[in-house]
Amino acid sequence: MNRDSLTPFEEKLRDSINQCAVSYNRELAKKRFLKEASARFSKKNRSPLSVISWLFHPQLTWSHTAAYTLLIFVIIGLFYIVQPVSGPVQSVQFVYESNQQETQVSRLWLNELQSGNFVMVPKGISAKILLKDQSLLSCSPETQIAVRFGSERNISLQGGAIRVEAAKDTERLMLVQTPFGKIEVIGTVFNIRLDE
Amino acid sequence: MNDSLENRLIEGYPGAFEELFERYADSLMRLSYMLLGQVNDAEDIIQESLISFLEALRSGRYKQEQGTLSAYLRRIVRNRCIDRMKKKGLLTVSLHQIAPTVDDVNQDEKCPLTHLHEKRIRQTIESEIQNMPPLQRTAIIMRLLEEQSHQQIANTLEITIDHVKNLLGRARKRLRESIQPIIEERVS
Repeated sequence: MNRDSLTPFEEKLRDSINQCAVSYNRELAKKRFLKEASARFSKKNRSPLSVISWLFHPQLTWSHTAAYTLLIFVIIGLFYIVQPVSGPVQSVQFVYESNQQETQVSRLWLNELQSGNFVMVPKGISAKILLKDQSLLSCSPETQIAVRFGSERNISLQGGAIRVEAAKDTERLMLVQTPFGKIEVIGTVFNIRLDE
Repeated sequence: MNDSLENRLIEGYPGAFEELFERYADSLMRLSYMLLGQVNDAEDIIQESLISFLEALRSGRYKQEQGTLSAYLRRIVRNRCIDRMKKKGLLTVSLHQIAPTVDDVNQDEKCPLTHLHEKRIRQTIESEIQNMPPLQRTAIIMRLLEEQSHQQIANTLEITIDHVKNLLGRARKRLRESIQPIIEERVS
């Protein structure tokens, strides 16, 4: 006989203990277990929330690595789609005239300008627009302006006043179009004001 | 083997989680409660253990050839209970606990757990086990509910095999002495 097998007395104790019923809230415990188990391990009916909790699961597996890689590519892809690449404007700064506090222009305003649409500089604020060719346009408040780059560098002015610091570009002329005529830039710095 | 509960759990078969709970919760709860003596703690342990088993199953750490599922689950529950007791400092060995080994070889033969007294005896055993020092309690539970050998118990609890025998001897003596009056009462 194996020395370590249970003695008859131990067997009786075991049988007796095995008949003990532990009183606990079985239904509640079952509910709690089923909820957690199906949230974490169920393959069917996976909600977006459980996908997120899966992504942040402390135990990382190969499928996590694959999912993260895919996510990074998607983010990079989205960044390229959303980011306008062909616009002529590099950056815009609004300058508040009251206390000279500078701020970055809203993305929507910049997008409009990038796609060649007319934008109006808000009231009481002037704007410094840096173009891709490093020319700087300083616009006074309520100036309506559009910028398009093609074989020429085209700036349309519908109202207000701008100061142009044109960067040198021997291949592309800089033209400023106004309702009253077209201006070809020869010097480097000049002011234009449209008076009604 | 392909229709085992483990496979159904892996494949996300509807009702498999419930079957797992139905099949094992009560016996695991008993083990956990006997070790910890607290229903809430015991329930936390079985929740954690079942979830940890599902994790092991999903990640492939659990191999079906390792032995029966029931033994695997009991092992998780027991180890978690022991960890919890260790954290509370309950399983430290102090010298005064080591008393001379009790000789109980000849006392095993007659123990008539008669039908009428079974319930009282069960309750006595349960409360007696609950009142044992944690280390002694853990040893006797591992012995009775998991049928572990002295060596396995010694390894798990990180104590010597003599100490295990000593703990078990005292536990058996204590249990025997506590149920003896009930048995004698029945006989007389």
